[in-house]
Amino acid sequence: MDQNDSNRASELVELLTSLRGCMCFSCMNPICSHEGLMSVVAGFKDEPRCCDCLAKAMKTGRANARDRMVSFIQGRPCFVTAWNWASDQEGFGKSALPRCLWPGTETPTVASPVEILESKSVTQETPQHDQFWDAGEMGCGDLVLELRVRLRELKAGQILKIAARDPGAPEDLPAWCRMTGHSLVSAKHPEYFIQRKEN
Amino acid sequence: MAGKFCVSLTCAKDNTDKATVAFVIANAAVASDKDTLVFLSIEGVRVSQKGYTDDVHESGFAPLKDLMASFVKAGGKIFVCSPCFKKRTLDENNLVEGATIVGGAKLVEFLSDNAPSVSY
Repeated sequence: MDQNDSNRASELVELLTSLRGCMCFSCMNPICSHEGLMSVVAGFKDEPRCCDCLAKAMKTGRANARDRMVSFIQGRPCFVTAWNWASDQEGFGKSALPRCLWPGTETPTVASPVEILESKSVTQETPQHDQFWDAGEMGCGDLVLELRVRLRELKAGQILKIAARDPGAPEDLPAWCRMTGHSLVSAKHPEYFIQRKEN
Repeated sequence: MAGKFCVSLTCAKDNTDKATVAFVIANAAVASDKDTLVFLSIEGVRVSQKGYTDDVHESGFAPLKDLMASFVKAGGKIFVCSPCFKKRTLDENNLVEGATIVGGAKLVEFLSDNAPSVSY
């Protein structure tokens, strides 16, 4: 883990610490640290939600939303560090899928972030993409309207890489993805990777 | 918080009365436990700049600077319209606390849960 990852991991742990005892912004039920971390992934850092309410915001089922967010976490060492911290705090083993998110007898369909990271030695990779679009300074309605057209030209599951330098893009593109159901695979302003949803 | 509330502000020093009342209402909403957003667009984006509102003090109201600070301190959010901001070549490194530059999608998401909105 390089220095940037290490710094980011510290920030995430600090954030999760501050969220201890926090209630879901939507339903007011208590959220666990894993849900706090998933809220960061889903763009709800300031309005953390429980897994069920995150799934509602993403317009998908709980298991699908959870697994998508865990997949996001898996490839990012800083997020994995924060995930481990959450598991330690809640008394789960590092390689186990925490029961707060996989309750009862449900058979996990994803590996734990730690297993994936250790087995594949995943570093912070740039996601693969199928198309690239340099949106330049385009922003606001123009940006998402053109983005909509370009994603429609892709097949379900394909990924569009976008260079969007508008200062509103860091807030806008995650919000647009949450509303439309497309997956924001990676967001490091000004580069964004968006995976087209199923029809 | 029980529900959302949006205040849309399109004025700055071209109508300090409207700018002031917008934040008065926003403060009433946030004080009522509403998840409150002030959306700054058109000329309204100018109030997002530190120092800009220092001399705005309408008779019978608190200074605009204080109203905005109270709003943010109470948990209110300020969204700043990106194209309006860029058109006026304002400084994104000189935003007041609590202000975030956004495009339309972020506003649409906030309003999508049937949030009421009042415009000034």
